[in-house]
Amino acid sequence: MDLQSGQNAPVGTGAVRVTLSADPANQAPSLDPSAILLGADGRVKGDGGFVFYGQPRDPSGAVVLDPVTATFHVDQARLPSGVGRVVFALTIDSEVAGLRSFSQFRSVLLALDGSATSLRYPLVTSGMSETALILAELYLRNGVWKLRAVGQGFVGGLAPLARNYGVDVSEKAAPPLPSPSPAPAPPSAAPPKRIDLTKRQPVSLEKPAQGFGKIAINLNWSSGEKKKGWFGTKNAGIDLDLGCMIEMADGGKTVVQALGNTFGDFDRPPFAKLLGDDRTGESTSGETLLINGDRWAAFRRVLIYTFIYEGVPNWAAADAVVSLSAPGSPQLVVRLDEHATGKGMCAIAMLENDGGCIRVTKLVDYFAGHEPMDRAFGFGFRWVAGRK
Amino acid sequence: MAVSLAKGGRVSLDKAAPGLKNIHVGLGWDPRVTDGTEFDLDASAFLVGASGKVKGDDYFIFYNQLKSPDGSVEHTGDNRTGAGEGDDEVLYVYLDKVAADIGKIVFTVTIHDAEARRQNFGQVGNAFIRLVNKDSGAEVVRFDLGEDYSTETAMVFGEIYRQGSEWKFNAIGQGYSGGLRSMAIQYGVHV
Repeated sequence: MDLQSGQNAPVGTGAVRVTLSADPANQAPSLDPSAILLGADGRVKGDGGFVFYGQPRDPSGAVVLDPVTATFHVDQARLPSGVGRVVFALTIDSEVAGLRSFSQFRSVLLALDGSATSLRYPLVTSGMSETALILAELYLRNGVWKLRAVGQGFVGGLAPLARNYGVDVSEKAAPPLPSPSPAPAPPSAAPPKRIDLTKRQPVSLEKPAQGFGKIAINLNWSSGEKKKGWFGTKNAGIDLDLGCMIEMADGGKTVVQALGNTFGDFDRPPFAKLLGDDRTGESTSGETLLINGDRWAAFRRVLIYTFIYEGVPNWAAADAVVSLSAPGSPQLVVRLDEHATGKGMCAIAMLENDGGCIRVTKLVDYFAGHEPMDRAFGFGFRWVAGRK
Repeated sequence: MAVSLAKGGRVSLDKAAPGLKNIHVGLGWDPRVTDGTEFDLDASAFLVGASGKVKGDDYFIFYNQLKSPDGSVEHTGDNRTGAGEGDDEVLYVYLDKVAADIGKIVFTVTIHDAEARRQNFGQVGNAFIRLVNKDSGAEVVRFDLGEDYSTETAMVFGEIYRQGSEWKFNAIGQGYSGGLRSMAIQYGVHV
């Protein structure tokens, strides 16, 4: 059954899956799904009631987000007492420049699947200047769980949306979220914690028993158009390089990148290796950097970056995508499509050794080159011009 | 203690509030909290006879015609946003002034320009109608529409009607498509 804005329908009994998607789908990685668990007063039930990329499950485990498929698994029976409403929203990642509002999507879709019910809410978003959209709410009415299509939002993004439901947010960098692992309810006298909505939100990769294995960071891009001039073919393409700065636990520092031919080593220090160098962007697999996760104890931190080796610093034309995958963890995907930053270097993510766990912080900060980026993150290398 | 009615519920005003003469009819809804075009809701009243039609076009009380010719129903004016506590729009009914050939007074709320703004009642929260004794300030009856609406753009919230010698209130909560215009036509107003 298709719902239109304002319409509601019962979802039947039992748990449901709620999947959020957008058309065109290739833009969808820059959308962040969130769910907010509300009490009878329409306010969030504790900060744990805000389920998003930085906190993919609520403390009760009733609402769990699979960030890869943008699917929420909702078990209404497990919701904390007093929670009678769960709101589902999509937010445009404000750090992905070029995406300004939902008007850049043709439509968004919320699909709910229950044991016996399927509800769909397609919403045409052309002309919508909102950057955060409340798609629908799942709510208890006279003992029956229902879904109401909302289709309204905020121009100002996730922050006003969260505030609307009483989530205390700070837009500036704030202390990292407490671990989302189930914790006893905080004493009511404690001041409310602030939830940081910036993408500095670290995601902690819990250490699997068998170690992290092979952590793969992949860079892929399109080379841009090859222009044909009077004097033959001129390649106006772009060459992007992937690399990392490593600080080892013993204080040793090194750089792994194609420039300067420091490709590293997987089995010996620095336990990180760059596989080949795709100079055209035409290789379907792009460039891959491997980090030996089984040797994670030897690392203090790793800064993953990419830079434009050849061609104008036009990230939008390069259409680069960096993905980070570790066995047993959701993939982190970063799309670099900042328009004309004039800066050829981009810090993608920081991996930090946090008591044996890997804390991943998405950065997407642009720099003029290696040196200013190094200064910003305090590695302290000495830089000379290199070639490959 | 006010009577709280569910959709379809009826109550005798004489029993709920003996001696009630002057009624404050409050209609309310929550304003939009999200960004975008405001919801502009308009309360209206239709004074209808036994035929179910208005006695005359001037017995259609709305933002452009705030008082019935007999002075029995008075609209206190348009609230453009729904902001503020309590009732968003208020009409007064003076029962003693209602002519004998008026069988009922219907209270409706319509969303202004709903089609162009792509708005409906399913997007409006916490709509209600309540009757208050204008002289004592005591609430007599209340009807929270809750979810008795969805994609409608015009709603009959409730009506007061004569039965024999007494006045009763009926919680209607019936929605329609169209706007104030179709609502007016339904009650025989020439628009």
